Amino acid sequence: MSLYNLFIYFFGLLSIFLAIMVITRKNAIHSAVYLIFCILSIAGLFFLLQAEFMGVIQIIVYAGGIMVIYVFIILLIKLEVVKGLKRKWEIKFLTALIFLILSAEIVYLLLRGKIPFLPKEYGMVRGTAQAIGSSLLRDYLIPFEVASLLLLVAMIGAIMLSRKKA
Amino acid sequence: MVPLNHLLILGTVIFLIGIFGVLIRRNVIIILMSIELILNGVNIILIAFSYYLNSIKGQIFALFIVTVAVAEAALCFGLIVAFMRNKDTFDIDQMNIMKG
Repeated sequence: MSLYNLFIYFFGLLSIFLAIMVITRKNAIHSAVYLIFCILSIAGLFFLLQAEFMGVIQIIVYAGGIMVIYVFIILLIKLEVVKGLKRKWEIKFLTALIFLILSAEIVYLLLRGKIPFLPKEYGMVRGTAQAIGSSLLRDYLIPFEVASLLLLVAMIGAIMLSRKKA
Repeated sequence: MVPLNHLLILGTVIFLIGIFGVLIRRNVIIILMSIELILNGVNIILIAFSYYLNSIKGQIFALFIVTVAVAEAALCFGLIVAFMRNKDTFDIDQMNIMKG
């Protein structure tokens, strides 16, 4: 096992562990901090898979943008309102059972199945900013513009939803 | 080199942890964080396929998913602020005005 493989497994197991911590913490601010580190370890995985631009976007937009909004909202509200909202244990048990069956099924299928269409040589394409940018502006120009429209609609919608009724 | 199946398992497990979080928690903010976990699991699978198929298309798709995640986060916080103003709580079980 080379160092490269070791790092991929390290980041993968770390992100699974941190994701489990996100959904089991009682306090929402602890969940937010664990989610930041989970996103950072997933960004490390992206760097290892030669998707450099996506790794940088993951750090800047997710860990730097979205998570700051989350932490900001949690800090703005009363903390005692956030604590101690949990389901009854019967619901938790049933959900965990269904979850375990589903994930065991998927993991079993993926462990024994083979993907037939893989090429012999892989890792030839590097997702640099140049490659992503030229592909985005050449082949995917219309989806790019639609994405900007989507962000505009989301901005107007957020303003409309959060202002007080006149 | 790591086999592709292991990366697919990683993405699937993170996706399922996110779904699990949506189902078991009652705090709206943690449910939103679980939705972020779901989107991240999908991103891992897309980038793993992009690496193994020598194609940049998976990364472009992942970029659009990040865009959608940003839009979703902004809209959901508008919804949370409106909800807080009406009910003064974060319990999602209190969102029951439309229950039949």
